[in-house]
Amino acid sequence: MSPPRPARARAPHPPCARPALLSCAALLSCAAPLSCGESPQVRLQVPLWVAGGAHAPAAEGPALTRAALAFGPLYLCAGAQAGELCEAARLEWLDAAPVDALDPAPVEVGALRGLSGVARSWMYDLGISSQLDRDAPHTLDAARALGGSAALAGEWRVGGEAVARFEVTLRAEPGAGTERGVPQVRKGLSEPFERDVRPGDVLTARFDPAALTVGLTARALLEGADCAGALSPPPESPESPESPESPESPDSPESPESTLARCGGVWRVRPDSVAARQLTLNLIGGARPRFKWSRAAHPL
Amino acid sequence: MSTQANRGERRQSGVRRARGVGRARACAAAVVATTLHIALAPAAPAAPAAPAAPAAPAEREEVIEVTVEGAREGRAEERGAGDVVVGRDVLQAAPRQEGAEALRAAPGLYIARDLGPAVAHSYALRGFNAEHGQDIAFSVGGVPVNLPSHIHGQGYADLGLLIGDAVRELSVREGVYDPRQGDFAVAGSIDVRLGVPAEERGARARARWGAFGARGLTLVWAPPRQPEESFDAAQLEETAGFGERRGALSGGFLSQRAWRAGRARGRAVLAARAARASVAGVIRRDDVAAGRVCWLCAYDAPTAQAQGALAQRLLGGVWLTRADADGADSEVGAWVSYDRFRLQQNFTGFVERSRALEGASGRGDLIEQRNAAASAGVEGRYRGAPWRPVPPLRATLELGAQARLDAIEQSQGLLDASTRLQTWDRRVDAEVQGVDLGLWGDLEGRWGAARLRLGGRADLLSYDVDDRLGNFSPASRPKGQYIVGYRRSAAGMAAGPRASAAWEAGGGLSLLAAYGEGYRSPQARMLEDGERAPFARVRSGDLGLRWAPRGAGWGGLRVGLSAYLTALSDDVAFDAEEGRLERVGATERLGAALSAEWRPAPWLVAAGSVTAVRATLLEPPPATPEEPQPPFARGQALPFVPPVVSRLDLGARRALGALWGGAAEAQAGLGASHLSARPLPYHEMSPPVLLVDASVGLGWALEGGGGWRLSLEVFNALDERYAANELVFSSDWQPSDGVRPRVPARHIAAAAPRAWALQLEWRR
Repeated sequence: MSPPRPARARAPHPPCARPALLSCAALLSCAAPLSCGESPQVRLQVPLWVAGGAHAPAAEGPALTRAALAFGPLYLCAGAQAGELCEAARLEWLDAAPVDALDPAPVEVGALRGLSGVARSWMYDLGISSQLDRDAPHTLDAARALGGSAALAGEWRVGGEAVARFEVTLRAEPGAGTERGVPQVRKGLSEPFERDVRPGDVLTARFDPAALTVGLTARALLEGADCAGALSPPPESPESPESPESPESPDSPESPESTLARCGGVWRVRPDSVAARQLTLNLIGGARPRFKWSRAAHPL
Repeated sequence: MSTQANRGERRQSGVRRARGVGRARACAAAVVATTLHIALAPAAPAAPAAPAAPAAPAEREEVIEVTVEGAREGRAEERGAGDVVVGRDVLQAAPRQEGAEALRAAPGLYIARDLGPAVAHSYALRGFNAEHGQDIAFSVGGVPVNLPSHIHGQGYADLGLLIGDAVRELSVREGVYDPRQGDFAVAGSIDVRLGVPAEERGARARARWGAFGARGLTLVWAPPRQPEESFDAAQLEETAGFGERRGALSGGFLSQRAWRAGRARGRAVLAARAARASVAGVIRRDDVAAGRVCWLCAYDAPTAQAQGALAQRLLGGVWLTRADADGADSEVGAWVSYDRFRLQQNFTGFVERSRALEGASGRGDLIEQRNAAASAGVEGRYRGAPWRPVPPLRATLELGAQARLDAIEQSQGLLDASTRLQTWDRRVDAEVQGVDLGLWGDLEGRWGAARLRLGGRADLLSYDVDDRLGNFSPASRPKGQYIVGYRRSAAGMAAGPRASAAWEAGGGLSLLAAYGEGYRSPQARMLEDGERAPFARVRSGDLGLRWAPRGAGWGGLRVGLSAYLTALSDDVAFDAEEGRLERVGATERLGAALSAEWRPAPWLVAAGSVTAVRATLLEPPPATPEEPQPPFARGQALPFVPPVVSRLDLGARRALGALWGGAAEAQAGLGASHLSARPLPYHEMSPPVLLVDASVGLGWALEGGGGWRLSLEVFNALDERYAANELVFSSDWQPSDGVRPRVPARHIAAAAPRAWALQLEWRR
């Protein structure tokens, strides 16, 4: 981890210090503080850090071994509601970076650039941005490297033992019915977020990996599995205690057991599966980072 | 510059220079004329240093008609210390690229062309960033130029119709102290008076070639034996423009006739103009810094390359004045105007969504604005005979009224430049009828060297608005059970005092104080039904002095110094997203102005001014859902307003002697404008600007009359690279890069670099 840099406020141009041919002619400008009136806002840069969280998996269910997210671009808005009401943002970070959601150590990924003042909402994308002028979204490098918005891998545990491994790549991209050109993940009205951003501020976005797999069931994983390769023997009991119902599905041409056997223990979850959609929903709606402000040299 | 009251003296000196043919007039309001016939001896010497063509000695006795105008004790027009008249010699001292640039000689006024010849200049006066005219009441030959409720900005005033040869003088009234000042007289008012002085009358043709493919032809016809107000002038101009997308074609016609019948005088003025120009638009400073677009370029996208503007205007008016023997006088006038405006401009790149077509977005924010205004107005005033109840008290009372009607059709939408300018959204489609009725009274009292004026003005404005897109429901939302449209009517009234006092302290020194309250009308489309129309109210106070020492040693020196405080209840600023003006809240200006005019020698004229002002925002701008608590700091400087504006005009014209059977004359001119660093939003500053224009010329007067003149002019001689306009807003000009910047960024419209022009003039 590199040491955090303090926020950089862009110094206003002192009108009287400009070394120009005109400075003599501008004598009057300099003599009176006419142009030096108070300005409520300045341009600034706010270092942006990202961090994951400690992951303590339960004895039954998924245990993540990899949780890489593509995070960004990020916008902070003056209004209480981001989205359409954030045509002009207070601060923005127009890049995306991979985040290891399993690593609690903060990593500086860049800086928000913009204006001082109160920010009341935020919105961001997960490496894939909707375009105003075309249907196809734009994939930033961070997402391209991951193959999508997030790459998750983990084990399915039964009785504290890993019975299988799963891998999934998620694409959080706008659907046909959504507004084009607006970041996908936006602060909800009930989520607290307000900060009078000043030079010296540092922002840390901390992701909770546990939120990524909320509601995930072995059945869903199995149904969405696209088998390729076998790295471990099939588990004896693929069912999670949270999903007591039978994995049999009338729509499935193949039983979970046979899928499990055929997959040989690695469940490569198809992006269009129910499990992938569940995980994507978690990524967008549940695994929102906690934004923390600090003025110290170290991010929170 | 000279004061209104001093015009007579200046004119009289002009008579002496002009071979005894001319006129002396102390006040335009009350004039008595006598015609004499004078026989000139064959050897009559030419007057020294004639300001126009050198005089040729007469070969035989000639009877000429001389009109001598004397003025009875009249009523001075000056109110505050900021009232000045800028004379023709000052207006013509420095080179001008177009007639409207004569306004640069007005103290404290800065003008810039950032959208080409088909869009009005941007004006700044006394700390007001008047955009395209919302804070300055302009009139040409008495015809109001500002257009109320214009789609591009309230009070839009395009002075492109001016032809420099026909601008006789500028009557500049800074502040709002005269009851005759009506709508838009917030920072002040400027009346451009038309005419061709006696020494320049005759026929004239001038061809012009210049940098960037500029060429033009100007014709002026001013019959020698007619009043100086009578003339015809026409002009055609073409330019390829500096940089990209700045080519333009324009033409204009200006005509005025004055006549006299007994005690009555009449004047009629006509003007027409058409212009079509390409517009480069604005570019982001960070794109310039990154090399994505050059300083004088436009963006490559079709939506940027399709920017352009069209202006068409026709106006005319007639005024009749009668001066009675008892000192009373009256005037009636009527005017009509028709104006069409069309602008295609993209400020924000690719950030807009259609509200009318579902799912249509990112097709380029090429805003199309159209405005057609048919206007007519009448005015009348009566000034009673002086009343002398107790000598030396002398009082006069003037009552007057003005009325105007404006029928406006306006629309705004978005065009897709990549598909033959398909309309992909509609934002405004409205018809507005507005009537402005103003009444005023003005009582003037004089007691020796002291003069006091008390008056007031009240205006009633009413509007009928047919907003055809009112109650419009965006395509993405459920339709309501109604037909789109919102018709409404509203009215409001603004009234305020106008008062001024002056004391002549002796030695040519006068002390002046003035206070006045004025208004600016609202944008009619913003009104609700039945709403009492909210006016932007301006309160202005002015304290100053004038010093005009008499005596030949002073060279006609005139100095004016004033301090002023102006408060505006509701200021506006340009909103790039909508391409129009939006409210920003109450503002205040505290400033001082110094102006001087000096003619140290008959061949030299110098005029200069410095205006310094601190313009501040008094309250936070109105809250919006996007900005529920707009940042505000007490004493916050108003952005874009230059705190210091300076101007210097120097003109020299001297006879060189006989040459090739004629008389040669040399001429040189210099104009310099300085703008101090301007505050921008977010504690940024735009750099100061020093603009220097210079000219040299050689005239050759033929023996039999007429002559030639060749002149070379250089504009922006220091090749200053500066922004004619600078704005701060959010835009996205690189939609293909996948991420959209949303933080407000600096945008500029580049001003012209150094340019030259060669002019060849023939006169007869």
